[in-house]
Amino acid sequence: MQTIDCRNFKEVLDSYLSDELAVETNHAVMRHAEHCAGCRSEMGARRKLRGVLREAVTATTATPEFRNRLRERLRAEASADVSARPAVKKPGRESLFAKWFGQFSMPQLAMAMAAVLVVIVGSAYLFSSSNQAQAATLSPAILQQAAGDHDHCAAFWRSLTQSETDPIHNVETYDPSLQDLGKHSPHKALGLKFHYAHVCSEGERKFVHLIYSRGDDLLSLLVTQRNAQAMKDGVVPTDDGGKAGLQRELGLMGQYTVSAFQTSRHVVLLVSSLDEQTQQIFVEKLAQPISNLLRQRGK
Amino acid sequence: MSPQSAQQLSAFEESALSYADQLFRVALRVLRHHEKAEDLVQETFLQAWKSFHRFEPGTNLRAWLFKIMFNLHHSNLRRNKLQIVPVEETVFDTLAYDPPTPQFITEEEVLSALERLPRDFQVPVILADIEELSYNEIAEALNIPKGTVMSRLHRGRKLLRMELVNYAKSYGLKVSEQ
Repeated sequence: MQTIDCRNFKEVLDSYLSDELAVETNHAVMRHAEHCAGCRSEMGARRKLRGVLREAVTATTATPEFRNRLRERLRAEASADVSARPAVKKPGRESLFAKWFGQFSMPQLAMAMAAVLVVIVGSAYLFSSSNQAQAATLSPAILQQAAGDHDHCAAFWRSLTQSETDPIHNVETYDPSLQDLGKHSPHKALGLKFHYAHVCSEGERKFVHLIYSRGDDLLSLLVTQRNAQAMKDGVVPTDDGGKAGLQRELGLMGQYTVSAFQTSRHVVLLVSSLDEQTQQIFVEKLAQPISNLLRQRGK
Repeated sequence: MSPQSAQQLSAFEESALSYADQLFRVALRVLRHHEKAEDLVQETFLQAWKSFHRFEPGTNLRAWLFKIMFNLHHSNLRRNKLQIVPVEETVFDTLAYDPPTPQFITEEEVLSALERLPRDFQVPVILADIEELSYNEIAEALNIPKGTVMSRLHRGRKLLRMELVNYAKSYGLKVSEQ
């Protein structure tokens, strides 16, 4: 029979109140509360807090005027010819997207569009439905993982004082060919502050994570190994030898700007809070040289 | 409007517009501004209507709407130069310490405590504990892995309680000084 102490009780209590626990733990919580007056009182207080929170927030509703405006706006939108239906816009938004898309060729545009659609619909089939080899270069999963929690990670490590010549922690056990990336990174010339480099993981995947800042913006340069099985299956095209530079994909993942290169063995991602145009500078001046270095090392 | 569009629109209104209140109150907590919250909700529904043909019936409409809303919100933030606050430091301080929850809390206190939470922790708490979305729905809406939802929710709930305790303490201190 599972038992828990007061400390564990408090740890799992919120999950208990949300009915998120396994049956066994649920019973352990109830048994503990029966015998411990202090924890019983804490349970009551948290339950009350939950109730007050819910009532306070749900007391607000959309006004009838707003609902009417919304309906009218939707009807106006629906009345427009479906095929020529204009995009939803606010000033500025369209021009930003136009600028962003304007500079890419059709396959790149298709990829960028796919990345945006994935954000909206969250489905992988868009990628697999395309016959173009390029569209399969990077899976949505890797972009998701790259744009995952790395900004927390970066914000935390930025707060630590580290020498930039420090070796990357734990890189030996992950991939020795990624040693000393910090030393070879051209951040100084770019006015970036280099903070820290380490190996972290997101989802199933490990990343060598180099953290830079530029004013309030954080930049994460992430290097991860390509999926060998996927390459065997022919999903990921092999390195094209740099004919047109490197494979590139641009996309917005939530609040991040994500760009990626790939070499025969690695994927190099730049994830930042920069706007697309500024990001583009660092894609070329920071991510690309690192990708080139890895290509050299891979030979 | 063609009969087909009219039919589609009424289907959309019937299903999606019933979530207007939920979207609005969450937007209001996140933006703390009535008109901006209305704008965001309107933008969300217009975007949803445009993409409605891509929505698969039978999948989760509410999570889909929240997802659209947070994507729009994030791109607005990006446009207005998002400031990244190193939240982990606050969180590290609080992890080991878990004081008793105050027994008497007013709605005003709890709303002000909620507003003081870092955005990344505030939103999962709102979606889980007020709007009752599941971990999977929140992960879907915020584009983050389920594990991240769970850890942010855990920390967010704890931070909320810490805010209330600190408030109660400062109040208590004032009283004892008088």
